Amino acid sequence: MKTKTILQIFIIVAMLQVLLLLSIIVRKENILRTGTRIKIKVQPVDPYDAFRGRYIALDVSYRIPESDKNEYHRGQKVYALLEVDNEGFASIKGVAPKKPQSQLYFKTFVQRVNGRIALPYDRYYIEDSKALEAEKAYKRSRESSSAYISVKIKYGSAVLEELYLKNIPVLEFLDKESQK
Amino acid sequence: MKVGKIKWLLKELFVLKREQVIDSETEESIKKYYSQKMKPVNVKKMVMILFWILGSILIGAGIVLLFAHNWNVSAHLKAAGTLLCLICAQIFSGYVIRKRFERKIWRESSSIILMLILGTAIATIQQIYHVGGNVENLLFLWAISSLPIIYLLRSNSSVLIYLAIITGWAGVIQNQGGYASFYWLFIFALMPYYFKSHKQNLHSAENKFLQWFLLLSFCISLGCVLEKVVPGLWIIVYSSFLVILYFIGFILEKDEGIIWRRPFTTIAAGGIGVIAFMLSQDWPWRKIGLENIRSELRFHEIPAIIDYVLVIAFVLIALWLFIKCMKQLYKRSYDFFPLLLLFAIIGYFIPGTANVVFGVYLILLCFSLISPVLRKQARDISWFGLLFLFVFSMNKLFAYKTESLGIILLIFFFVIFVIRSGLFIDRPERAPYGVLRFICLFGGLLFLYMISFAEVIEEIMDKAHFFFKDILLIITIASAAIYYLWEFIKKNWYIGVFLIVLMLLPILYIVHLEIFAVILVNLYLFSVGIGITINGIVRRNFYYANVGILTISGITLTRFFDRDLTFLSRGIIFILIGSLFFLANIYISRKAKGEIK
Repeated sequence: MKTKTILQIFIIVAMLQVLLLLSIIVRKENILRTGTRIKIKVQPVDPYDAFRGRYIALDVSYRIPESDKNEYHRGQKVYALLEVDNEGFASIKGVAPKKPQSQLYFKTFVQRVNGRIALPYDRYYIEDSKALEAEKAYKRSRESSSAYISVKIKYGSAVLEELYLKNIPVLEFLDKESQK
Repeated sequence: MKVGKIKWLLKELFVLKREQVIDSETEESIKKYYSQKMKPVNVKKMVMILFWILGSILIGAGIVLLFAHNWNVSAHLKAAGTLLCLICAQIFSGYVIRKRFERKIWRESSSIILMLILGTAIATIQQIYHVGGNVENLLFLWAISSLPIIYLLRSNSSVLIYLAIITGWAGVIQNQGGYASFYWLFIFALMPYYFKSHKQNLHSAENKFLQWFLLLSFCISLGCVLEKVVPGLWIIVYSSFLVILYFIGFILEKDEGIIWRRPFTTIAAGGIGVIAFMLSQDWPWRKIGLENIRSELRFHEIPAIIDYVLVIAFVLIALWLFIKCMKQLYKRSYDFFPLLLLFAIIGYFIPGTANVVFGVYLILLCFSLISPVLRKQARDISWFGLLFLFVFSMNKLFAYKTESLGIILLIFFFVIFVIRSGLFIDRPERAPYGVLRFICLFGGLLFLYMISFAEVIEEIMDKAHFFFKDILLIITIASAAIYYLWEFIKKNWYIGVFLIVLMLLPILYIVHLEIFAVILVNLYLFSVGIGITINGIVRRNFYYANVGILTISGITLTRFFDRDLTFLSRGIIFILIGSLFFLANIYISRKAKGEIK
């Protein structure tokens, strides 16, 4: 193959690679702009990912009830159904093997044998230097049950929008704390 | 005549001369004739490519770490920056295709950087939108989008990265209870590239490099892609797979010389040893051998078909190869490697005594391997026999406290190792001194590497009362000290300083200043690295310079794992060291070119 042909194919491949990333960005932005906003209460842990840096792990796990567990197997794709309480906080009320009629649901899969399902919003990535500070503040807020995340949902996809501590976005909260 | 055969002949000449079959003159003329036939391998160029690859990996990893810092800027700016970074890497690769396509070093470096940045870009976009912990999605997208880079830039190092990605993906999927059958499609997509390389030059170093990594990826992933619907089926699948590899090695690699040029034989022999060792224990049979890993779950019908196809196909191919190679295989000696499959089948159908059956098999295997050494016909593979026997005897010694048996085996091992060593028998040019030097150097470096971890130094010192560790420690320190003392006498100052460092360590420990011991070792290794690098650059010695930088990167990368540095500083250090590799190599090669002109 001639160098010129290789270069032409390479340009197409490069464009496809950029398009792949752009498609992820556009999809997520679309959900963030037009999706339904819900709030979910969370609990923390603070590990890090070699690729994606430090994050706050949000413990919002849900397990399929014992009575229904036999209907599902590990790795199976499911739809998690959400319900919103009087205070405006959402929680998973159950899972279904088929697409539900309601708008408040997201696609996921059964992660563990014990019926735990994978969640699309279990990590909040944060700048390296602020991770420790954020974790401490987060733990304190958790103790007073004031930590929650806002998630946008559309067509079964969920995108984590922000982590709030005492009703303030986490980074703003850290700035305020440091000014005190 | 093939290179392997010429090498064998050149080795054999020494024996013929010793046995007085030929005289020195005949030996010289044969040597001269065949040496000209051998195409000289440009080792320097090969090593240089290797160091360029290392430099590129460090720079790429540095960029990954810079992104992982999670810069506190707006999501849109971050996304734009990520895309810009990817486009820059693409433009660089485009430039390489347009202007530098004939230069292998450029192709390898640009492909590594592009692949790593591509992975980083996907990860960063996921990070911006706080995508959950499903790494398999990241790896899947990364593998698919980076596959064309291998073909377009014709780079072997990108194959290595690709294999690492798909192997990792198979592992993650398996861990999450998913179906990793797609792995075969990923591998299938790589095959045209491999066969082209295979066709171009079967015996080239590049082809061997590909074979090594492909086979290693196969060996790791085979267990992940099995659906495991039949309990313990993996034992038969793995056994037949390794036996097939062994036969392929037997057919293709007969004339190849050293171990690294025989990936099929080496991986098969190593794998067979490991499987036999594992199955000679009790626990694998109880825990994973005959337990259905997916017993509590429903399985997927389609991947399950692959299990049946694999087991039938592998066993049939292994049997066919056995019949084909049987005459040649058993003409001269007893080769027990292919019998693994037979023992696996016996063990599988009579599970109660399986570990005993495999224990017997392992001992037979070891003795069949060692027997050439006893007959003064050392083969490289005999070392595997010694190694297996040693590990097996050590394991049995500690598992069942049958001390007398263990000690007898150990003495046996020692006697064979020292007196009948293959290295001494047919390679007298590598005198015992050379081997001692190697063991000392290796032991010394290993020891230093071990104690460069704060936790390890404390652990070793705390548990040193255990006799084996005590002896190991003393032997390592003593051998390293003897070697470096000798270097000191030869006025190699930086090695002499090692002796002082070594003496200071126990003293610092006794006075409870362990942390200073750790700092001292790190400082010492770092200064040795810098010393060797400067020495190499000043003397324009390409090997010295790169070994020096390798030492610096080694110690820096080690700190990456045990010190609480930020992603930002780690990233900068990686990029700096990677650049150092590039700059030192460019400087030395330019100077060398200038001198030639």
